[in-house]
Amino acid sequence: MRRKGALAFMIAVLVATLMPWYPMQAGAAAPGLFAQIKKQGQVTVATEAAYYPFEFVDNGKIVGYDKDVLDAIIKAWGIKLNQLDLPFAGILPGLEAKKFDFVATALLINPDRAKKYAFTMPVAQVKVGLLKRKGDPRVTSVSDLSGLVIGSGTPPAGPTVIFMHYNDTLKAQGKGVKAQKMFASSPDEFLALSNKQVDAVVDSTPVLLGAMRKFPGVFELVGTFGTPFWVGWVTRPDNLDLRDAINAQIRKLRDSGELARLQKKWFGYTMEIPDSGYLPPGAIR
Amino acid sequence: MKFDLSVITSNWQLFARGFGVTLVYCGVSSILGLCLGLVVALARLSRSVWLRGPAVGFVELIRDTPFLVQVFVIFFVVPASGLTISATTAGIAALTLYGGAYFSESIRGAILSVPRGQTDAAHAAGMSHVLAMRRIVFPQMMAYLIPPLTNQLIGLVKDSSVLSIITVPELTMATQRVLGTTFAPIEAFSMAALLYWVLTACLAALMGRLEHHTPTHRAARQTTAFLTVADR
Amino acid sequence: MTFEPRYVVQALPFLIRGARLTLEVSLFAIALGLVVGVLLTIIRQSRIKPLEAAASIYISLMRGTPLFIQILIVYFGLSEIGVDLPRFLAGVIALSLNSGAYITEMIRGGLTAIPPGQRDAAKALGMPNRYLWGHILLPQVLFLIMPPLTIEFTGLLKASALLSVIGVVELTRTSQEIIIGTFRPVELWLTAATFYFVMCFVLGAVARRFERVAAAYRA
Repeated sequence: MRRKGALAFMIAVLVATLMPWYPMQAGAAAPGLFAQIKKQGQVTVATEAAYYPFEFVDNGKIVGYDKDVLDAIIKAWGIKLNQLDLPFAGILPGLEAKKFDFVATALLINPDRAKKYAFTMPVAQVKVGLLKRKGDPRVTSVSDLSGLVIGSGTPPAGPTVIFMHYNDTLKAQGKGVKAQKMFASSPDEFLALSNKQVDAVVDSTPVLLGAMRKFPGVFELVGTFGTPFWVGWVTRPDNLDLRDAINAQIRKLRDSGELARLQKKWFGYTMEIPDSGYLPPGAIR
Repeated sequence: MKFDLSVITSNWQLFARGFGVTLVYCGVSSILGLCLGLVVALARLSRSVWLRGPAVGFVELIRDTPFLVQVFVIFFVVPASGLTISATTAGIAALTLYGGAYFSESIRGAILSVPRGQTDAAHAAGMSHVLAMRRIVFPQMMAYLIPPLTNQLIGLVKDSSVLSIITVPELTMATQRVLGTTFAPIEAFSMAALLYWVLTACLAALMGRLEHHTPTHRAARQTTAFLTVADR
Repeated sequence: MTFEPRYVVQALPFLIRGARLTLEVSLFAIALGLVVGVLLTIIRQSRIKPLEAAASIYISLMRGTPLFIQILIVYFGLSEIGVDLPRFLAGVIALSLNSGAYITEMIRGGLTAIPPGQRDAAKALGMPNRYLWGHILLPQVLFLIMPPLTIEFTGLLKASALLSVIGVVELTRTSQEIIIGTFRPVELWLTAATFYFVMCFVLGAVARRFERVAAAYRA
């Protein structure tokens, strides 16, 4: 029965390809995830490498501010980094599904998220701002957006969520936007802005400034709104040991001045990073 | 694993609106696509190389590239030529071109399935070419047209989910927005899948009824069964 | 914005790597899809009503919902029930589960092209079902469905672009990544489209060749 043998072989190959993955599950929900990572000598991290200058791909490699910070942490831990580049839509669901150990991508710390995920201490502080095509007379200030089409990321993108609340207050004064377009990634927002498919783009300030550097003379910053926001990374809520281990390293980098150096390198300016008070009420601590 | 129904019930408005947008986009592009498909099919059957060539090129171009990439090209590359194109226009245009290319193949096949002798006879009886097409060919080709067309219309509905990438607020975009606030992928995606399933099942049933009303459907069924290559 | 060829040249090595992954993912998916298709065919011929009904629902679901959604469900859903798959494998499985539903229809079509006399003869000879399927029907069907199967393969090549959503860095995701760094959508999307076009066009020509051979065999 030659054919039967072939079928058995095929099944065997299938089983053999599927089986080895089970013990490799990234981060089972055991309490000592950090110890486990150290023991394995490898950590799996997710990044949405589409947020210049925080994280993006250059010459086939993930680079950017967060990447430099992450590399410094991994070096201090003395382990191997397995970094995945995922579209934003896959980042938070993927963390919950235990596809990776933690997320190292710029996430605004907001109350909704802080209740679901354990935020590390901030790596940056940003404001949410509005960018327009240079010299467009229709966009005059952040406090009147009537008749405008605004582009932003798809929720749960942090700046978008903040902007939606902000727009609600404008709407009450009759100055809300005409339409809000949601993009899968930030470069798409800027391409659409330069193609006149939207009138202005909402995003965090370093990203807007980054786009202005990428397209010299095309865009101009209209202004910022709201209070400043902290930007951090997240772990699953039951992996606080890992979160604390990351915090310890970020604190070290800040105290040694390395964090400020990296901020200067990628953003052109530095930020004060606090030890506490960055988590909203009700957050996982 | 628990299935949290409140994810769906508390966001039903978002789902309903997304479903509505999907319906409108698919409806408009199906009609435009059928018109385009007919023109392309007739061009491919024409004797002039100047009509046939571009028609073949167009169909191959659409059939040999992913819809996702076509959408990106229309939304991000076309404006580089100075044309302003909104997400709505880009979405409808992408679906129409895509549908038109595939529909044209079905229409061409259906026209060819009507024996040549019948058009010859119509001409001999003094009918003009247009009249022969309208009175003799089109009514008979419907039975051959509907089965492959059903598959392609279903394909169009499913592929419209890709338009979420260029900000069209259709069902998949609505699902991602629900995901953004609830962080419940299983519930949100299951609901989306169910809605698409209902839509495509209704479409198939509707087309099935239509097919039943064509006089030659029995004969045609048997010959097209093997020929149909379904589209994803 | 103008078309600057140097961005294409710069991106070429990465795009080639992405195209290779696109081919790999599709190749694995069509192989596994064929297995799924054969299994579904066997189930549908089993004469066990509940199994047949389940297969019909499965096929209807796979064909009636967007692949985009199916990919997301396989990737995020499977891990919620405790099965964790790397992205490449999740991608292959999502594509092949979907493809199997189409392939089983092709097999069904192929079976109708085999003269029923062959089955009757096998039955008359007292041949066991296993032997009839394994040695007589399936080999012929596999040969007969080569043309639509090749077209299905090009379908998978195109469909694999959707795997960019779960972070499989194939051709489309590679292009996206480069656009993010360079902000050059014109050069990158046109080049990516060309890559897909060449791959699918060549395979389409192969399918037409198969079609001629298969037609000669059927005659």
